[in-house]
Amino acid sequence: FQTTPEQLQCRTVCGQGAVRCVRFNADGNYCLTGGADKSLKLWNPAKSLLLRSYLGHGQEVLAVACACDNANLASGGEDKMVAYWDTASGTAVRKYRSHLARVGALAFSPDATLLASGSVDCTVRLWDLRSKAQAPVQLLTDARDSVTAVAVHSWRIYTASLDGRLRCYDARKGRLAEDNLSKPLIGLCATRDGRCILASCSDARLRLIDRDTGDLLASYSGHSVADLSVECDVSAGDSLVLSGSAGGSGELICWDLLSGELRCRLRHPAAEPARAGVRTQASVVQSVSAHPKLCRVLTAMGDAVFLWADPAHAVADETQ
Amino acid sequence: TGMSRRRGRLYYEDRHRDSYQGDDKDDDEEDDDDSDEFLGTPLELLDDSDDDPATAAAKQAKRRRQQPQSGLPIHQQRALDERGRPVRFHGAFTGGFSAGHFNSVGTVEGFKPGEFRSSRRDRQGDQRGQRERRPEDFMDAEDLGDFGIAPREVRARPEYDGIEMRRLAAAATVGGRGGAGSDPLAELLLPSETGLGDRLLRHLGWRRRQQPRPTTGNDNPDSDDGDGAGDAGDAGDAAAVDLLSKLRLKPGRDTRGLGYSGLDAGRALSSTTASSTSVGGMRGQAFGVGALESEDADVFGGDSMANYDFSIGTEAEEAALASRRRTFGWTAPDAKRASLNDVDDDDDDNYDEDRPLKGFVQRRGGTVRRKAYPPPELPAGFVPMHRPAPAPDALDIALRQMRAEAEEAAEAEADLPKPPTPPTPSKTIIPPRNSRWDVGAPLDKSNSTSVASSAAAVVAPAAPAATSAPLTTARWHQQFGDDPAKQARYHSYLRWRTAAGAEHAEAYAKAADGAEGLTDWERNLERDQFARAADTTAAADRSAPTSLSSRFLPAGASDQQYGADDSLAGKAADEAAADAGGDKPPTRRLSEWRPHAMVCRRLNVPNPYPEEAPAKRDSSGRPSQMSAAVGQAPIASAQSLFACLFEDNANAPAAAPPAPNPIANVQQPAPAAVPASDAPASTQSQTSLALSVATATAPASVVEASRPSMDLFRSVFGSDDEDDSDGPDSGDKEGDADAADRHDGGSEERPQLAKAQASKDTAAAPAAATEQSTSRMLAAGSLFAHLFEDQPPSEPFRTPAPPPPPPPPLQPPKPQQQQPPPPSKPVAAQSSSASTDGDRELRRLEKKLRKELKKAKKIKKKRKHKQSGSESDSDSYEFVPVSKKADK
Repeated sequence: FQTTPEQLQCRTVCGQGAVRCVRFNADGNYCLTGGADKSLKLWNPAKSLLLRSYLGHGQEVLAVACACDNANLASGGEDKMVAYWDTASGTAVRKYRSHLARVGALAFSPDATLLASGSVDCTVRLWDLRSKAQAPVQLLTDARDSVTAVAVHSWRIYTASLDGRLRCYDARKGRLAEDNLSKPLIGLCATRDGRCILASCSDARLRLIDRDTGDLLASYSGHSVADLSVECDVSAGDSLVLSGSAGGSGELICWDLLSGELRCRLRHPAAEPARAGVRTQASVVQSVSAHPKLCRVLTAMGDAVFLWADPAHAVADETQ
Repeated sequence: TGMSRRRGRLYYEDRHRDSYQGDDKDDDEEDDDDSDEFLGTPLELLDDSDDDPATAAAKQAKRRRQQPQSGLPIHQQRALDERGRPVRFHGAFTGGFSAGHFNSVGTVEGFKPGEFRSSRRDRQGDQRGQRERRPEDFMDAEDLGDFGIAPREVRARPEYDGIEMRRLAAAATVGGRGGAGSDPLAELLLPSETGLGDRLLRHLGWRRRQQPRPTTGNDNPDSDDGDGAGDAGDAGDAAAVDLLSKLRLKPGRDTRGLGYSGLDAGRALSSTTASSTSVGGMRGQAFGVGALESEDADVFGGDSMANYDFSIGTEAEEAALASRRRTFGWTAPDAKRASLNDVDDDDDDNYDEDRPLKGFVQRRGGTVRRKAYPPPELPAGFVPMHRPAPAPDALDIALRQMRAEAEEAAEAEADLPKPPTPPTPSKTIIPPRNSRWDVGAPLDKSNSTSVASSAAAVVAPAAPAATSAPLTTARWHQQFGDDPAKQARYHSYLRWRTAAGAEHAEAYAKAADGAEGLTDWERNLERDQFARAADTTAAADRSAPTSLSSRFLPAGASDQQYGADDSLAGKAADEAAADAGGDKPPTRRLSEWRPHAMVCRRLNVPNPYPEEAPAKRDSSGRPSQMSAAVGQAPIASAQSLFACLFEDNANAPAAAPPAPNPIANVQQPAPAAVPASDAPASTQSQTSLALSVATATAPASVVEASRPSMDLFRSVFGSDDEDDSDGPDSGDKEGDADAADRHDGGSEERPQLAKAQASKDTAAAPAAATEQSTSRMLAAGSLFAHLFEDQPPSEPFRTPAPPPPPPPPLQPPKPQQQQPPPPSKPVAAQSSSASTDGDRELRRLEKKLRKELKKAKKIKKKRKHKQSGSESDSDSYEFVPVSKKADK
């Protein structure tokens, strides 16, 4: 029996112009939003409570990540900068300015000592967070087009690039595995057990790739991408495949990971008109983040963040 | 303990009298508390500002006294008196009497005799004064101390004194059951003087004296009406015990048998004293009564000859004797033996079943034997240990996950391909442990050479695709374009150095052999220039083309070509079909990736290439062009696509892109410019020449004996911060412009922008665009080369080459990250003895260089400390990107 996060539990209007990226924190109680107003904000998504704003980016914040111990955050943006924040004090511990173009993807290593940032400049840079060096500890320059997503799972670094390759850098084997999916990849997510990688392709199809062999295990379709950056994710327990969609008035689409059947389409309420001067795709769910443990999903559409939970959990929370 | 606790509390209160001032209850207790000694660690005094100097001094003295001298040897420790002053020992030791203020008499002046006061006039006062004299007045302070003759310390009052206690115990056991053999512990643990029952009875109005005396001979006749308080107490106690014993039965609380009563000391003693007159023996008191004994206890008069058995007779006689013997209330031995027999002594002849123990009645109806049940048999394999069922908790899950990861890791190691060892002739010298998996790297030379040769065989076919074009035609090497003669000399120099493997000075000497009109000074200058130019060129060759070529598509190459070229022959069709739109299965391609050592550490995995010096690595961790060619043909070929942009593709053979590339002809002089006669390898084909040229050029720099080049420093000390001054600032702007130019669409636009734009450029104006795009590429390349912080520095150190034998016919292309070998040793035809000699020499050289490196490190550190800001002299050694030079 699997539950789906069908019920809209809370909707938070962030006031950030457009929410470019939303992520749960490590324990799933809070969330981070990167906005078009150059700010990174920390929320309690269940109560629509703004906890802290992190200011320092010069342009839109496109990617956020949270360290495993919640002590630090990372953000990357249009200003080519990767910022490493102290969560409590709200100050930028480090600002890395070595990317040549916008930074669209970020991922911490499991123990948050290494940060991988992917950029439109076709590189992934690995930052050693323990050292004070401003230079990346390693450059991954294999991508021949923009790097759209980065994920780190144990000792493997996955990158998705618009050149259609899914790359897995295996630091233990010292090996690079390139999977040619022949379609530009716009999103990437490793399953929680690390055995498979979910890649979102620009042909509106999600592909599940076996990590070891590179085989195509499943593919999921039904959403629309419309040449936009739409994120995908895998729910806790590896039961559901989630993806935003540009179709309708903005949807979150859930598939069953094993069977591949479409479980539900969650229509988002109509977005409020965005502020003038900020270009948003108001009807696109472009950022998706699954709760690390529970059956909950955060989505970002326009200026708002939506928290979806399965009905049982939602009721339980209300009674609490 | 109660007392001590109370004392401790009082002590505390005493020290903090201020806060406890109002407590009336404790006041009287505090009065006699001043002279008390305390148990436990005293609390530290609070540093009150209003402490009078006397107490402060006392405190200081105490602190001094408490200071541990244990650290000192015994002969250096000093004896201190109670005030913390050093004690002066004299008298017996020094032969004199030192009468000082601190030592003997109480005044500074010394001994001061008391004033004579006549008692004649003031009798009263004199008497009063005498009356007031106490022993303490004549004592020293030491006498009142802990070890003096009159210590002032907490002592038990006489009632609780050890002596008195013992006396009490004796009195208590006299009437009790203990007797002579009573428990010594019971003697020690005595109740207080008046028990609870005693007190209760007193409250009820009972008085000791009113109680009629028991008529037994329990009491010592002497103490009957004793005046002393102790005697009266004893008698009263005994009476009380008797009174109570009549009220209730005494439970047996000792380890004796039932019905046993010990020797009644009171009876025995009284009877002996009574009978001592008739029976001869010792009597009287031989010695004086000691301080510890009371007169009543006559320890010497208790023996009588009747107590000794002089005959061995029948039982009846013995029994008669026993009856004669006075047991004074002792129940043993007759009854005791009977009871013993009754229990377990079946064989004894004296056993009489019909006779029960005295005071017992025999049971009627026989004995019921208890049935014995054997313990249950344990099932086979039973482990007498409880193992709790494992609960699936978080720890368990974590453990399982760890196990899974470990399995995964093991599996990862298991299915790893054979160590990707880039073949290197240097392997014949020191077999490096190239990868974590070639643990048992064979040490014997034959094996390693075979590896090298087989690798060479593998490489040979792929070599054309992997090589960059010959050095002489590359734009990078147009260093001295304004002076054709010099340029020609430079080329010649490079050839000598690379192809022939000549050393720096030698190469220059040969290159400048025919040059006229050059003074010695000019020659020296030029030689240095050439060396530096060769170094920078090598560095640029290593960094820029590899890092750039992997990131750009040739302008003429379409996606299809790229895809086709990208894959191996077998997969090409698949990919083409996939590109055509079908949902084809993804194709996987494996290649080597060398993670930075720090990345491995941060990811908690062992470095898969532990022996690999990080400096030798390409910044991307990708193996450099050559080694890629060895291990992975596809990458190499992909890179060669780009390499043809920079270099003459007329040289690049089969793998060159099919699209005609106009760039090459525009820029490059004919490759035939290589003077075949100069090059020792002129018999080789063009490609092999190119190969060897590229191979040798890459690491072509020689460590100067006096001071290593700056690249060396950089490679050793890491190059993280070197670009801070000049790199990002200038480069960022250009990079911004460039990146914006290339990527202004962003992720929301169509992907593959770079490709699209590149193809657009070429399509629109091929002739005009080529020059422009090439220069842009080059600019970008130098820009990147300049920007990338972890610029791959040159070799950390280099072994000066031994005299070069002629290059082998098919030299395997040397990977750039490899240490340059002694140039071109024929791999196959090496006599073992010669090579071992070479090995030894090389090792020696290596050691020397290591030492030099260490020295250099020290110097660098020192310099860093000295002048952090100005590094003008080191700048002159710094790597200058080629583009900058060109711009200038």
